[in-house]
Amino acid sequence: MKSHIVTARLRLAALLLLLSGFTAVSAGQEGRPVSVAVNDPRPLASAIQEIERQLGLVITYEEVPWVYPPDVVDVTASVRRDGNSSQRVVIPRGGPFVCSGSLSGETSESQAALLEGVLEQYHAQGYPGRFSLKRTGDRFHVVVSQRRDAKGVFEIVRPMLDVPVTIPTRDRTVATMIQAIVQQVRDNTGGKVYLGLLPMNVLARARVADGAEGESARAVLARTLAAVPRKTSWQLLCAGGVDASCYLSVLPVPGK
Amino acid sequence: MVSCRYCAVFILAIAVSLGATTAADAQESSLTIQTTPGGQRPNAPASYVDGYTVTCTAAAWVEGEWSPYLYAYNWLYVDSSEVDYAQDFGFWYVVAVTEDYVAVTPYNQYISCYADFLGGSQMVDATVPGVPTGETIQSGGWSDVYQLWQQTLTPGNYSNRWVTEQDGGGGSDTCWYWGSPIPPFTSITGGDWQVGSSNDYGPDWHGWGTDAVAHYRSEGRAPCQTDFYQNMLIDMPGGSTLYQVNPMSAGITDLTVWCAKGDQFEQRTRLSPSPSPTPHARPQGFADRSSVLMPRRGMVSRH
Repeated sequence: MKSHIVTARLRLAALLLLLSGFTAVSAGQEGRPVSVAVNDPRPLASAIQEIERQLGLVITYEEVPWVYPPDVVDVTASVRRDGNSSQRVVIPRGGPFVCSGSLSGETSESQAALLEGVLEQYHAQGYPGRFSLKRTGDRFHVVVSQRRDAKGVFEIVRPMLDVPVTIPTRDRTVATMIQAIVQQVRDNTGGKVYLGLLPMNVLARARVADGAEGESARAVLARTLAAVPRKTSWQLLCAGGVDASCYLSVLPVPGK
Repeated sequence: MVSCRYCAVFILAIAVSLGATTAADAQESSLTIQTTPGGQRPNAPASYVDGYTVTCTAAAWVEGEWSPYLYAYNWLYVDSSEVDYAQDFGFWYVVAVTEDYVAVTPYNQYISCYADFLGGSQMVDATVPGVPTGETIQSGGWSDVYQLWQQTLTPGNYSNRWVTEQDGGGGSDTCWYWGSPIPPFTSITGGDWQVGSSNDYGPDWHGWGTDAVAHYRSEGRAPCQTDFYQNMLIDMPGGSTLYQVNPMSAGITDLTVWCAKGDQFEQRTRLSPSPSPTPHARPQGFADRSSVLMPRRGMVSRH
């Protein structure tokens, strides 16, 4: 009789254990919901920025000029105020983008899974480019990996900040270091890469004693911005067209 | 005690006498001063400090055999149910607590608490730092196309304090367009500075960089400008206080760049070396100052 009671208790305990385990897994799968709805010429960049704001993560964004005509739109008439129609203004053809996912924990793996999910949803929309996710330290990088060529066939592209840079080691401001990185990328790619918007009150006062020897521009940039006493991200945005210019902007990340 | 012509001095004097008891003696004494931020203005962020509640607490450590006399005058609740009355014991006897409210002024205010204990007197002090009534702004020159503003806080002494800029809203960037590869420049990005020995701080970098100026010119956006407000805060114990709101504007014309902060305006002639030539640069001459879009004027000051 006694052994029967013990067996019954063991069964009950096992059942409770199973149930509690099941509950934990279910909760983990549900996680913290994240949803974003944007409407932008660069919907992925905009969505990434919104996720950055919601989660307090640093997620950078890099694109290349889109060259497939249906991937861009000519906005010369609405943008130019000087009536000069010989120089066209071309921007990416974006639009509305709604994505959602969940964060099953605060680990970098769950954050990466969330961002991979966002990329999948973006790719399913047919907007310009294909992107991949990279990481340096606790920064995520959403980086272009493919674009449609002029005929509409996907081609592999090398992200501009993949380019190795060599910069002499010396003490300089973060702003000067970023200038040197962009100059090197321009020199080494022949691409039109320039500086966009920079928070100079932060970047011109922070200093780094650093250099680079054949490292990727992205890694050097990430290391440089780590010297800044506040969270900063970046966006490398390009105008549309074969010979378009791209601009690297450094943006403060709002604290979570 | 610190005193000066301009300083309001608050003295919170606590005269304390424990009196003689046969059962217990004051072995130690303690006098503390605490400043607690309070008095925030309506609708202000929680960190905006307008004043402090100052609390002085005098206490003595009393040791000895249990005495009904001490118990009767003890201001603290003492659970004596577990006390073995045969043993010696001790407790902190709070003799006096006094509280007052000190509103911030432009000048530092020095506060003291004084207490007379058996066996000696004690004094502690604290400072309620002053808050500037404003700042004067002047140009510190240009770094390429960035204007470097220099500021001087008035009227007190704020050396070594920290000031921080926060976005004051009102952002509007007429250079930016839907799809621009350069994000809109519609807010300040949060710098902080330690005030120097002459009550000055800076530089406050302002404007677009050379490449952005060239881009907006090449896209036919000039003349265009951005306007927003800069909230200036000074550090205070337990928070910070808004002391000035500066209107800030920056603009691009075909030939010049200009920056305005508060009541100051600076411009310089600057053609675009990169990334692409000005699409239709004027053939000669400087832009007439009157042709430049002027920024909003006015200053909002806290005091």
